[in-house]
Amino acid sequence: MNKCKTFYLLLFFVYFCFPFPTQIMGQWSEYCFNFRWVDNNAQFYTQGFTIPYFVHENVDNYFLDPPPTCPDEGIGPGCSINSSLFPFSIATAAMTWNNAGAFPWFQAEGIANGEVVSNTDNANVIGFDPDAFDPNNKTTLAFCKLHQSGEAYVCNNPDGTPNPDLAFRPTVTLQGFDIAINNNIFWDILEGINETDLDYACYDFESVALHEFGHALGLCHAASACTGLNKHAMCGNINNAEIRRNLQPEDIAALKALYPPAPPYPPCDIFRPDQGVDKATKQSGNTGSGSTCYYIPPGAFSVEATRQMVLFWERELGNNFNLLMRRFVQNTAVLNHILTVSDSRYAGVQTGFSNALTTLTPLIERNFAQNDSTKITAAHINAVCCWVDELLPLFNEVEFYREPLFLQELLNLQKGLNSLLNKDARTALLHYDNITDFSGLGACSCSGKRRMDDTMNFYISAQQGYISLHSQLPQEATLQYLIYDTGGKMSGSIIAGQLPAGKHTENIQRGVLKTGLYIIVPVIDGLPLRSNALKVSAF
Amino acid sequence: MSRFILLIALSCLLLTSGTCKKEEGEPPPYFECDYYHYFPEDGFPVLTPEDSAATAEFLVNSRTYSRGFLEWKVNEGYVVFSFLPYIKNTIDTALFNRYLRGVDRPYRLRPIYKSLDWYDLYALIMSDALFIGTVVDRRYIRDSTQCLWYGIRNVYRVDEVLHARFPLKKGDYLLESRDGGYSGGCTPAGQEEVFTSTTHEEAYTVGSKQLFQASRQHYARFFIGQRYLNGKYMDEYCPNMFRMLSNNWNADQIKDMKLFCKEHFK
Repeated sequence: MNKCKTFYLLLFFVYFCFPFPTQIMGQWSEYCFNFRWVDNNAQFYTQGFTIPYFVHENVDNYFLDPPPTCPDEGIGPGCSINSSLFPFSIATAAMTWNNAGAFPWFQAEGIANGEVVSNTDNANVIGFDPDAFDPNNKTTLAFCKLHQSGEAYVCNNPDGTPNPDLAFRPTVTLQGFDIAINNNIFWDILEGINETDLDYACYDFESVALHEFGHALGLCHAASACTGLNKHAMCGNINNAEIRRNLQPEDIAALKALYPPAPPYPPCDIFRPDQGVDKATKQSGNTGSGSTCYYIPPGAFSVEATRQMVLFWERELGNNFNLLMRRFVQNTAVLNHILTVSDSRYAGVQTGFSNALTTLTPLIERNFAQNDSTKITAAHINAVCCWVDELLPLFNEVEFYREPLFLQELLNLQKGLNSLLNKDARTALLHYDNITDFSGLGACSCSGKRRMDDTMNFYISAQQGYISLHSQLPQEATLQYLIYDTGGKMSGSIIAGQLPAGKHTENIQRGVLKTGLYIIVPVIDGLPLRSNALKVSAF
Repeated sequence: MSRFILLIALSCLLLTSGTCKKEEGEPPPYFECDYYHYFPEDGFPVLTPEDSAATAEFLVNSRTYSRGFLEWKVNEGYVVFSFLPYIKNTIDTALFNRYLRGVDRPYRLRPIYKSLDWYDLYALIMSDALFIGTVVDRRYIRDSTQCLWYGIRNVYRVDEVLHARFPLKKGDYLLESRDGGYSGGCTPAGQEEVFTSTTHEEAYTVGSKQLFQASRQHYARFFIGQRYLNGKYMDEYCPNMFRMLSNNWNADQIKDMKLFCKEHFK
């Protein structure tokens, strides 16, 4: 072990030995971490990694016995407990942590059966565990069983100190977890907007799932988590009929303290169009700054076409716009990584983008490799706009999978292009100075037709002024879409009604949804198709 | 004179060390099953089909669970096993019928006896013992060859007995097994051993003192479940082993529990 590594581990030791203070808006809150996930492919996490989990098959077969009398306390329209949505609640809870921006990324892998809690099945399972809870256990709603490689804190040591029974090892990593839910408890999920929709006798399934996923990330209870008006997700107790589906700033701060954010793909500091043979493999040490870049592979995405585009705009607008486009080109490295990495998260994007490239790349090359162009034409703008517009819905997926960098670049390119339509290069550049502000983003004017993937039943596309929900029904059916925000609350629904077999499109006008991520669940003949859930960014 | 002083000094030294040795003396072998003799005649837990059917029928008739719920839940006999003491008459069935039978779930959180709700009374009536105790010691069973489900043992010292269905008095020890700890022999050769801990359940640490519910069936039901029957786990059954449960009862509830025990248990 070299000195550098020793220091690193020592750092870990200090990190784990004491409750880690996080400062939120001037207030200190004590958080204790008992472990952290470490990327298996790196000594220390570098570019994010996936934590797979399985939902046990008993989750959506939850049986209330007997269902609570409703309305029990004279409130609400009555209970409508729908356990078929429990798996969706789990996914939403996991996504809430994902959206907090930490590197670990919960990824639903499928349905599990057999034991919920097992340290030998190599699967992270969440489900009801009839074995784990005595019939009179009313205080433990659920617990997270943590399988750790080595000894660390036991979360529930009240003073937050290392477990004195264990020989402490600083390089604690988590090998897995299981979440057992008490099936003796009345569970429900909030399907409406008001908390009174949840019967008083029930506990909110998603709120508890959110809490347990926090444990699965390595967070313990915090002493201050249960004080104040807004209890933290990591508060160790929850009341019946209490909704706590959102992370508080303290939760997010604790998570980010445990997994400090770092740019996953720092842009190259120098763009070198003659950098040699394009490679899809990871390169290092070729940027002068130590940052790692990925280069566009031949045939997948034309570097030359993009370079020509840069040169073209440079001729037309001078260096200002060149800077804008150069940054975009640099970040095609991110695009390339997404398209080439062997990662199931990106499978949808990779397929969709591959299809788009088939038709778009020649268009790009044709429009931007014109040597005789001497001025910007509407056709040029339109071509780029179509290109960007085509990519956006695909990269809504990417954003959903926590790779917002390239999406941001696309959005800013779109902003810049809109400015250029007004011959305002300066404004176009300013968009890069305000990349997090997407409000008021205008849409490019794309006159091209959009394809719908015939192999999919449901598909989202972004149009100027609205978002389109495409469906293809194999037979006549009633169709409805339920729109949830990332907190799991239903933001609205679209009732398409009784539709004949074939392709259909429903539109959501821009502005109807607030800026943010949404999950849209198609409902066919009253049956929610969770596996066909669509993700969309509204801006 | 100097020899006399030396003798006194040596005597003091020996006396002091002896005192220390006495204070830090070896604890009794209270982690071993053989140390206890509360249930010497008790054999390995068995749940016969007849027992299971009778218990299930009881649960439905007593409105404790619906038939549909049992079909969903009783996939491994755990719930049935929990109520087996009623069928076997090892608990006060009259108390069960009076306080627990026929209370629908939405009403189980409401007080039934003073401040105690259905769940509190369930702990009183169904448990083997209810006692105020202190967790005095803990041991992790680290076996590198055999795969054990119960990897943690806790020893409790009884400080006050509220109720017990076996001879138990202040100062006695009780032994508990909990799942978790080191995976040891559960991991194939060459794979890294992992340590399993549980959130929410282990709120009490060594030295903590509170009201505990001692449940043998909660410990024993592992041995009639699929986890054990599939042969992966090699735990040895101990008839004197418990699982301790605690519902974080407050002072008022403990007071009412004592009152309940005084009125109903002799």
